[in-house]
Amino acid sequence: MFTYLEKKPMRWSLFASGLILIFAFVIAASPCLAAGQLKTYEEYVASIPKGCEPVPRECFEQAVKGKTFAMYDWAAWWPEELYKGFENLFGIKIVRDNYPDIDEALAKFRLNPKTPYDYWLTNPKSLHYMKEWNQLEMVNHDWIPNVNRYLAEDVKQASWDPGYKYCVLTTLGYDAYVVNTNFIDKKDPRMPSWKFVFEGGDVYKGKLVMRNEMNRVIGNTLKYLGYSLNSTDPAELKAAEEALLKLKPNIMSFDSWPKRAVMAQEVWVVEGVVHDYLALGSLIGPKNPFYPAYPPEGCLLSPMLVVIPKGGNNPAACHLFLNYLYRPENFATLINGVAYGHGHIQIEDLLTEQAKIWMTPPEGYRQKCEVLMPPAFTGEGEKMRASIWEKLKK
Amino acid sequence: MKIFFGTKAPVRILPTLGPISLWIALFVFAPVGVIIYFSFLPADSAGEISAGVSLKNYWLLLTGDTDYGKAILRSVLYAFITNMVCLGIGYPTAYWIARYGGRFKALLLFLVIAPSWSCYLVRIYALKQLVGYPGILNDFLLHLGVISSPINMLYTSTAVVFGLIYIWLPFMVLPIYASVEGINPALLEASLDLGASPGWQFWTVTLPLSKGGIFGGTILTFIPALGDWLVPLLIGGNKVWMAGNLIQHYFIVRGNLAIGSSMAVILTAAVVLLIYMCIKLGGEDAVERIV
Repeated sequence: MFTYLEKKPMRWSLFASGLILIFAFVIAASPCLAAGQLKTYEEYVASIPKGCEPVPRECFEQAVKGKTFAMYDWAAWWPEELYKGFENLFGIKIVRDNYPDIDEALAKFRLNPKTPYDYWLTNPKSLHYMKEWNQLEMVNHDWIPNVNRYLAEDVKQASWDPGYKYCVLTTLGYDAYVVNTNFIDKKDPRMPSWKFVFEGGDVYKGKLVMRNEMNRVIGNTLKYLGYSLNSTDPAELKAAEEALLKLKPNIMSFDSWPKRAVMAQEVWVVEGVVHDYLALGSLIGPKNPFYPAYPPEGCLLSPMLVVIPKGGNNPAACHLFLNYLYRPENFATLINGVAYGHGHIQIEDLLTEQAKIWMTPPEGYRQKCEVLMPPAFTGEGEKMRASIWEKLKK
Repeated sequence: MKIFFGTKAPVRILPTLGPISLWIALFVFAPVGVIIYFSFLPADSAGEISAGVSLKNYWLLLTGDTDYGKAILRSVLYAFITNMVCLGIGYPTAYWIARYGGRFKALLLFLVIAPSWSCYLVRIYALKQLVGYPGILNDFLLHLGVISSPINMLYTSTAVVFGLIYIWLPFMVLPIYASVEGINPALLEASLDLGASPGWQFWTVTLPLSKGGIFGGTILTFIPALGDWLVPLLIGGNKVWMAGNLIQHYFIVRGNLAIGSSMAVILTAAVVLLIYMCIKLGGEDAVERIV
């Protein structure tokens, strides 16, 4: 009896521990259990929100059968819930890989054309080269009805890929500049022109960071001089070289994402995608110190495009993801998260005021901007730019 | 040959040599072999590689406008300054610890080595926090009233050299310490007994006997400093390129793998030559100090 009484609490504690363990397991595994809740195509079709369309059965079944979806994109940029939502809905595991630099990612594809990614978030330069190397799958328009429905007509015919045969636009960034108003008066008469960057060294006293990307920096310098950023005219590029060499003493560093220096307010003027810095500035304190300058001369327009490399194992999953992404509520989640421009025609009402402020340039500004096109990054254009860049880094 | 294979030695050696040889073959010789192979492939200015073998890339580096020669010279200069300053600071430090450290030797050595246990990138960012603005040093000087406005200590050529010294200094101290510590005290006593002054003793006994440590330290500081590209990138603000940055530019931005490989081969050859010279000058002791 004594022994029994002594052991009883022990058994209860074991039972309780077991229960706790099972509970913890259920909690931990709940995302996995939730994953794959759409077992059949019919369930998927029934779950489609109003105003959206499903992918065809063939696409759905291929994507789900593939089980995994290999993505190659920037780290810590898009809201995580987009990826998690996709995994949970379709039971397809997303295997993400990130690159620090799109050029580096392009070099990876160049070295190994069979690099097994189903999705690559990239830029027009990579799109051009990947097409030239015959390393891209064509987008199957029948498999992305939401994209067909909600992508703006002018974007469908955009210069980087008329007819969106090889890519789908996600975001549009304006590569202009921002100033920290804690140190710089935004009423400076040279603002918002590029003149402030190139001639305002007396004001910002060397606290300027330029992007560490050859084509962007030289392109915006050409814009300052009033030329096309895709110029291949040797005289115009020579003028850009001189302007940059003259500017160099005022450049603190070349850095594509100077987060630490921006947060520490070590840098007062940053050339780069303005939306990123407005979002970053909001973390500095209650008053966002950054003022976005959209130069009237125009600036570089930076589209981020989804392409489907040929080495991937599950291209159907990429179509399924694109179709899922272009559902208005999902696309609004993306744009509210990154505050970039876009080509979706149905999300205006779903955007936050903050995102609208951060992502919107002045009326009609997009027409003044240019996207980098092959003349700038191929042949003589590339050679001349590389020469300028190497001189700048001496 | 016959005798060698006639013995059982290779059978006993193979299991021990096998894994490490395989490792070195796979992760050292194979990648270097690939780079050497790429460096001989003919490529146009856009980086398009065609079939065949050619010395064109090397010729272009010698005669073309790639700026590689200047980048190499700049790297050699920075690495040389780094090496000399590390030697200037490292030798007295190592000497003092070895001779006068007493029971604190282990602690003092620990203090020298400890920073190098942390990640290379973390040390670079620590330096940025230290000398940047806002930064500990600037804030301190401003607080004391020594300066009225922050000094720009980052993003210059001087900052690059300073960063290299900061990163590689411990690797100079250790081999020199081992060398000085290993000198037989009887030799030092003998020199004093024979009438040498402390200065003369240092010059004629200590320094020659510690040259292995000096050349060992040189291998460990000069060579990594020569190929460094992160310090110019992060401390130098990517405004001044060393050879490593130019190689990275050719590989990544220009996508010209052939030219980039030729540059890497030349840099590797320069490094091998330097190691050879250091071993020749420093003798067996130099090798022992770095192993």
